[in-house]
This record gives sequence, C-alpha cells and structure tokens, in this order.
Amino acid sequence: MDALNDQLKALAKKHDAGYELTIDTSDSFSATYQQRKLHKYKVDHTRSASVRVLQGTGAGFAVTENLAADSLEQTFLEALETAKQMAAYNKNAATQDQIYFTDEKTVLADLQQPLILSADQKLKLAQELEESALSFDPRITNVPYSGLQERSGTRTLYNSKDLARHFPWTSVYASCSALAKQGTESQDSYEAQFFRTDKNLNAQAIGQLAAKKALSHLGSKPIPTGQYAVVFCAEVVASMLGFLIDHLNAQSIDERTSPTIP
Amino acid sequence: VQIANSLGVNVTDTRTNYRLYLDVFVEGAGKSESFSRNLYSTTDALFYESVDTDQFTTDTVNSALTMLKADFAPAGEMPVILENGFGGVIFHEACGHGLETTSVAQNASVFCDKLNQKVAENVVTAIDDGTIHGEWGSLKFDDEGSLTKKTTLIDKGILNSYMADLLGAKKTGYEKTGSSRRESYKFAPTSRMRNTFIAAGTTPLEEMIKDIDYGLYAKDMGGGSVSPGTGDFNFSVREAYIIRNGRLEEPVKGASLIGRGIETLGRITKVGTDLKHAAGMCGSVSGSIPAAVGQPALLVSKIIVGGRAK
Repeated sequence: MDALNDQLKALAKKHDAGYELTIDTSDSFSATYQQRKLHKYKVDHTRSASVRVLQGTGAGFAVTENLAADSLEQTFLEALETAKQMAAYNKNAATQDQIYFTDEKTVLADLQQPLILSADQKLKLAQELEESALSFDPRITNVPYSGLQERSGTRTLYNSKDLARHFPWTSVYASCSALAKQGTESQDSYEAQFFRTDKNLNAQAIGQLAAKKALSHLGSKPIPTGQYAVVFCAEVVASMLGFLIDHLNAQSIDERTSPTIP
Repeated sequence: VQIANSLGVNVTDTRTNYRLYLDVFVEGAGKSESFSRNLYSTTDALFYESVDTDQFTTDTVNSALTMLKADFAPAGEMPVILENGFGGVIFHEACGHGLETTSVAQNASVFCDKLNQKVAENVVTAIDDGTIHGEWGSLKFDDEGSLTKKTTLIDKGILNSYMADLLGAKKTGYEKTGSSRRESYKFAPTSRMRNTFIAAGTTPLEEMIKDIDYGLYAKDMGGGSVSPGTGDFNFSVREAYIIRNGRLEEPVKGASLIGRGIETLGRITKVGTDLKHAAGMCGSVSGSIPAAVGQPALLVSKIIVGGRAK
C-alpha cells in the first residue's frame, strides 16, 4: 500500500495539490436461514481507494475499486478536476489544505480483534437465530428476516502531511424478526445486536428475545390518546440519544439547525 | 447497466437521475422550523432549465414560514385527507412492500392468500408501473433483464397481482412482473416497487373537504416507520391544516398518522382527480433504489392522528 501512497504523492506534487488517500479492504460473510433451510450465503472480498484532492480553495473526491496504477491515477485526476471546479466557485474561501488534513501522529492500540470462527460455526449461529425464535412458542409462525452478518477489514490512511495510519476493524450484526399469530391477529417484533467480536454473541438469546417481544404484543389494545408518564427501556433511550446526537455535531451548530442553539 | 446471463439475455440500458433539493431553516419569535422539497427527472439535463427556481424556492420558504406560526395538531381518530403526490408513501411502505413476493414467499405479509379478494373500496385501484416515460422508478428492463411492465396490484378494490422477480415467481407460482431490482451489482436482486401509485378517481379535492365537519388535511407528508410483518405504520405530517365545517382552516404542526396498512386501505372512501407522482429512495434487502410513489388526494374516513394540542 505504501507504493500506492508513493504514486499519489508524486501526482500531487506534479499538480501542486494536497491529497488524502484511504484504502479499505473488507471481507464480509452473511447467512440467513428461512423456514429452517439455508436461504442466503454470501462471502465477498472488496478493496477500494478513495482520494480526496485539495487545490487552492477547492476540494474534490473520487473512489475506485480498481487499485491498479492507471486506475488510481484516473481517480486522482477526477478528484483534481472537481477540486478545480469547486475552487472556481469558492475564490474567497479559506484554503482547503489548512482546514482538513491532520498531521496528528499519536497511535492508539488496535481496539478491535479479527474474528476466528469457521464458516461452519457462523452458519450454526445463523441457523440458531431463526430456530430459537421458531421453536420458542407455537404462536411464532414465521421468521421472515434473520441472519448473521460479519465484516472485517483494514483501513489505511495517508495524506500529504505525511500521515500514515493503518488499523483493523471488525463488525458482527445478528438480527431476528419474529412474526406471532393468534387467531386473526398478527404481531411482529425485531431484535438486532451489534458486536465487535463474536465472543459475546448469543444467537439463541437474540432469537428468543425477538420471539418474546412479538408474543408480548399479542392481545395489545390501543390506549386512549392523551398525555401519559412514559418509562423508556434502555434500548429506546439509546435510540433517542441517537437522534439527539445528530443535533450536537459541528455542522448543525455551524448551520444553526440545532435546537441546542439558544 | 449491462446484464447478461446463461439463458442468452444480454441487455444494456443508460439510467440517469436528476434531482434538485432545497432544505430551508427559518427562525422567528423564539421558534424554528425546517422544510424541504425536491424536484426530479430521469429524462435529460434540460430538466434544470424547465424548473421555475423562484417558484420552487418561494413555495418551500412559505411552507416553512407557515409551519413556524402553526400550533400543535390535535390528537384523536378523525377523517384525514392525504395530499396528492408524496402522500403515496404510506401505500408504498405499509401496503406495497407486503405485495412484493420477497415477503409473500416468506408468508410474512398480511396480503398472503388474499389474491382475488376485496381489500379496499371500489374506488381504489393501485398500480406499479415501470414503463412510464421519464418517471423516477422507470426502467427499460428490470435488474434481471426482464422487460418491465405495468402491473395492476389492486383493481377496483380487488387484489389483482403481486410484484414478482424470477426467484419470487418460482417460489410462489405467480407470474413474473419485471419487478426485479437492486442497488448495484453488489446486491442480489429481489422483487421491489418501481412507480407505485393509486390511480386517479373522480372526487375533486374541494368536494372532499366540503363534506368533512372536523378532520385533518395532510398537505405534505414526512418520514415514518413501518413494521414489515404487519404493516403497522407511523408517519409524520410536515404541513397540515385543520378542516372545520367543510373548510380548510388553521395550519397545525407535529401531527403523526398511526395505523395498519391493510385497515387504512379499506378506509379510503374517496379518491381525487389530481394524480401526482413524487420521487424517493426506497431501502430494502437489495439496497437503495429510486422509486416513485404517487396518488391523487385521498380521503381516509378515519385514522389515528397523534398530536400535542391540549
């Protein structure tokens, strides 16, 4: 990957531009069971590079999934062309190079660990996600959506301020949607959990929780419209915090769209 | 896009999408509101030259300013008129996805086993059409290379067809409808909507309003959420007005519409004449794809409105 950075460095020098190169590699696995049969099994590997080019007051961005030298050069030139167009419209703006790029060199220890499960073990987890919900109660008639998705990869970041960073990452997502029926009534519910490693993944518990939630909705009645005291469970509070966080970023403060601004 | 397969299919298509988007934020008297609108086309870049940007901007700013002075909506069950155009998002989300063989094949739709049964009043005809020239979700061929079609989903209240890709057709036994779609080559295709709309009826909007003693006119719909297995939905209304004694009166904000798709479908009693389409991006198992929704103004005889007015 250093060779790719060397190529970008030479191109940037030739065109008197700043650059940032991000190279991502990703291995992903996903499996889904439906009606107790393997429904989907997908494994793929991708590599991609994104190039951000800064020239004067303009910034350009382009992406490629072909890391051959000629493709990377073309990607750089596309980003450069966008930067030039942007600069023509932003003559009075601050020079982009000063705004965006960091030369922070501090390195933290890797926070995430690659997964070590075999394909058979992962398929077993995917199967458990559906089976544990289906076998939990006869009123669970269907699990329309469930599955295990696992991704791991690396990110490597370079820029024209001599930044060079590399870190691995992992992500595991397990989900189960259960449909409960009783007479003519049907209710569904969903449980999904994210993990950084498989160590804490309990597929059976996730499937059973989805089933329990769906069953708990059976027989529920609409309540009169009005104002009530409401107790939020922890998961709902986390979701609500997610909405709030959208209003606490620098962009929303800068654009005065955040309700936190007096 | 080029699609080739071992059955000899080898087709190519050029797909273009143009969109203008405006999001305004207004402040006044210690309150703030935002409002957004978009215009779209798939035909050519001349679209931009045909746009009246002054009118587009003025309309968007006026809607934001109207909502700035609006009080909160009332709560309760009442008749609601849904705007033409993006009001169709409720049918798309709460009914349309349940008519895709993606969910029908899994027996995960409230529309399973309801083919040829009455699911709505006679005034309701719902269509999914991938062949409309220049429309946001139109395709020369679908993402498996099959020709797209006009599919009548509900014909005068009777469930007439599902939307099927090749695998969905094989699993369910229903005929393929050229409805296979995917975001890109990175996704496996599955049955998805194209341009989904409720066909024009015969009741002008003014007549619908005239017959309502107290209700809500949902002039501009926002986002929402739908439970896929049941069609339970919750949508926000960005711009709404109280209907009182057959007249449109004060604007109200913060309204949400709450219901179950198949029940709400059965409560559509009047269908307007002003069919309009609106563009959106539809996210599902095969990724995010451009899809249009649409309808004329519709009267739903009763629907739960969430609101905060005391």
